[in-house]
Amino acid sequence: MHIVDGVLSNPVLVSSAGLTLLGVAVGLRKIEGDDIPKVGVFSATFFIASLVHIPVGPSSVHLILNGLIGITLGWAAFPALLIALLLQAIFFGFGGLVVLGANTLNIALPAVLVYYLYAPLLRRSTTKLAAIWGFAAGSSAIALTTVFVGFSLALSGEEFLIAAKLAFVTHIPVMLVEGFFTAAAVFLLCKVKPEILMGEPHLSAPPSAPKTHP
Amino acid sequence: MKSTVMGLFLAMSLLVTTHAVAHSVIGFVYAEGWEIEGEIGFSDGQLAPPGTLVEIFGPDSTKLGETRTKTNGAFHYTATSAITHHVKANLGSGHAIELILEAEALPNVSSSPNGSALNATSITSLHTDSVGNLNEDQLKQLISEAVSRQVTPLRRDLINYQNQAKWHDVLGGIGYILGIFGLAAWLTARKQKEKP
Repeated sequence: MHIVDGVLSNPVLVSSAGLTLLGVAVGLRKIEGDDIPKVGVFSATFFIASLVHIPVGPSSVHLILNGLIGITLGWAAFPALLIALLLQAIFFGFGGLVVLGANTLNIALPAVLVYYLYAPLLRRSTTKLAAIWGFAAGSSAIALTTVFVGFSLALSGEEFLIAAKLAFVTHIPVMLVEGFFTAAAVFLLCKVKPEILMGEPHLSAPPSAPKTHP
Repeated sequence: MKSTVMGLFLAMSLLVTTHAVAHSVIGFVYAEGWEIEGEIGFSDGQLAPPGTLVEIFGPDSTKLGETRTKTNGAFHYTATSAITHHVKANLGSGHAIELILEAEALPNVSSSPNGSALNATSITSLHTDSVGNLNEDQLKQLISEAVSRQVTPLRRDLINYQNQAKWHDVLGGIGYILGIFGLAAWLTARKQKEKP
């Protein structure tokens, strides 16, 4: 998922960096004071998720977790992922500094889309149903990311269908793994800390209408 | 409750194996006489698929030639001049690598006229008796092949070692993130305090 330096063409790099800046600006405006620790924890989660390798067949896949980050953070996924990707580039050499904008866009925009798709559904679901939406959110975020990566590569000269198909097919195991992981995380969060998933009505809101999750 | 989340997060961090890296492309290149040899693969041990295009560029980014990987991710190119070679390969899906072979690794470089040649001649004189029927060039060839056979696995290990995610990097990164967000929380809290 991390595109490395020297693959994308300059127009793609510049325009995705611009869009990422926009996303980060929106994200920063949306973060309320009380949400900052939550954003930090999920940023750190993404930072280490890429190191968690899960063996699939002869190869292994690593978690990305942009679905989980999307449904919990919404637009705040942009600043959270930007910081995590920056540190991954510096510490582990994943991706690179020049493509930071493109990588952030490709991973954070699906997170935001997934937020709009699934967060409203999650908020009025029972715990079990929420876990199913979590699965959908986790896997579709990866699917969207592969399409976006395909787009970035296509706009830089690689043939879109081939690039996108390759990224999509190789990430099918990741989609499943992410789906299950996100479902488990959503299930746990519903049980122990449902406020995290409730998004917009902020943590600071009075607990007047506590959600009951049977 | 916050401690539950932190606990969860710490438990997850324990799953991190120090050996694991994301699928970045790794590889190495070395010279055996005029023959440039190298290997390209992914950090998880997968090798570059056979037939992957490997392009060779000069120091001024003019293209010198191209070759393709064989079954074991290895490629081979015959250099024509002793200049710095930039080896580039694109493995698709945003995976690419650039390897650099310094000009000094190739024979007859004006900047290092006596290095390897001198060593080789002294060895030749020592062993002339036992390998009397070999000429100097053949012996040089034999020695460089033997040395590269010994050194290649070491190179591979060294690159793998360099590419390993280290515990202190992981913890350092988490520390940075918590620090950045802690700073943000402190600043906003201070702003809110000043407001009323």
